[in-house]
Amino acid sequence: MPQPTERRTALAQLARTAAVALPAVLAGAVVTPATAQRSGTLLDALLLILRVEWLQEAFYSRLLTAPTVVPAAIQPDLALIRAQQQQHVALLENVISTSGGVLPTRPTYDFTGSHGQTTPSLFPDVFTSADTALAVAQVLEDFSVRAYQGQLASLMSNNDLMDLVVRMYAVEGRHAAHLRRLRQQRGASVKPWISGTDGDGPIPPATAPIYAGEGQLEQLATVSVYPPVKTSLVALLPTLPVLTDAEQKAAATEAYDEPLTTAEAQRIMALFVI
Amino acid sequence: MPEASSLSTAALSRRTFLGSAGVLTATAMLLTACGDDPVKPATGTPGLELGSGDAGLLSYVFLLKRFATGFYQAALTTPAADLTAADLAILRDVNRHEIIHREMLVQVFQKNSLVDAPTIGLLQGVAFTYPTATFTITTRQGVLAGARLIEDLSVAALAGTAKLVTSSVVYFPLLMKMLAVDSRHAATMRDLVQPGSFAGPDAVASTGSQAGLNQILTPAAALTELNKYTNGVILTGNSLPTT
Repeated sequence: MPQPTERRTALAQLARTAAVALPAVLAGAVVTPATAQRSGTLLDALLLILRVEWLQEAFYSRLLTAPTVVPAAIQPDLALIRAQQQQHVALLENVISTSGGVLPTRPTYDFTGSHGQTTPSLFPDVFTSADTALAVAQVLEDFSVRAYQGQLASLMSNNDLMDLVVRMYAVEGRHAAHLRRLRQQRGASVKPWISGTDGDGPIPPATAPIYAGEGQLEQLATVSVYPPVKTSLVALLPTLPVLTDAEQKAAATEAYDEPLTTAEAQRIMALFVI
Repeated sequence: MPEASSLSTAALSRRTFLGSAGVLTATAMLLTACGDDPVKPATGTPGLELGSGDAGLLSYVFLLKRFATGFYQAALTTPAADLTAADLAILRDVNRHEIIHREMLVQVFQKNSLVDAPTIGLLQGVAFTYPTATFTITTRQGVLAGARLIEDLSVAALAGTAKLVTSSVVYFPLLMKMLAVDSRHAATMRDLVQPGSFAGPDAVASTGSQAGLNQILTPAAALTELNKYTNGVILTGNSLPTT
């Protein structure tokens, strides 16, 4: 990470000419110096999202390297997902670089979660068991949806960047649902959406942090009331047909995905970095 | 078990009442006198002109959600015979999520005095139609293809609202939470219609400068799509934010 002065100077210089160098979809989607120089805002949001995409791209690339444990029938699906992650990486790297941001070095990953065999493995058979591989893939996609969501508000000052990132975010949700469907077809008890906290994920307790906080039965409705008053989602369901308590709560928690904070996202990514 | 019998009789009567285009215009004209309602009548043709700012945007999303729940209600009342138990479980889940989205918006309208009661009634009175050419609810493939259209539309439309919403406290996060789940719905419906199509090129560009990006729709474009299914009532959003 460059020093603040370097950050500011580079961004101030490059942001002025950035638009002409960008493909049409990125024109205007540059980080302005005024916001980029402050931490916790635009540039930091983009860098965090880029790290999420790097993590996923590295996972699929390793997973699809021959000989792969992935059954032939679903290799095309994972190849499509990887291609879309690579497209996201390229777009994000482009906009960060063009805006004068300095790309960090890509981390080295250990998807067994053992940090290069320095700690006990969380997913020892990640590349030798198809079930574990797909479970980790699902976890990374659900993580991506929640991590993106946590960063979106930081982009509200830039319309073009918001358009760009929110369109990637929607693609992450599609990937997550598909991974869940693939696992369901192999016998896993999982829906396309996160229900409650999904039993702490497919491989508890290692996967619990990715699902913590997903079991919200209430959402904030009021903008200006203090203390904030939340609305019960169960109460919004119709009285007919009669649903069981479990069905009502499942629907309430499934209806909304919840954001992860920057700190939570960083802690989860650290599970996979050497 | 019909999942769909959720609307009260009162709501259904109101819908029938307002479904007449002429009445709708008359009702809308009454509202003109109220001043700064988020929904105003369009002049001439029967229709609804959505308001401005976040109130108008959330009203627009509310109509999208009503369009979705109306479809699932119709599809689940007498489910197509060839829908599997697994299909039905998914459709019921999605219907419940969409009802929660829809009714949460009503809560937001009410609790923030964002949209007043007569206007909410007007929005609830728009009678969506599901013509069989597009929404063949008597067959599995027809139901799922209809759901796919609705969920893909919802994802693209919600993506388009991200830059337009101004309140970061409740409105923006709520819409983005809905968007994530709707993208899960869309991918699932696509996979049910055609396995492996969860992020196919008609939903996520595969080539060119937009490769890897989901479709995105402006409110104007999504309203044009919705207007195919409003029985002649023209929804317009001339005051909605565009930047």
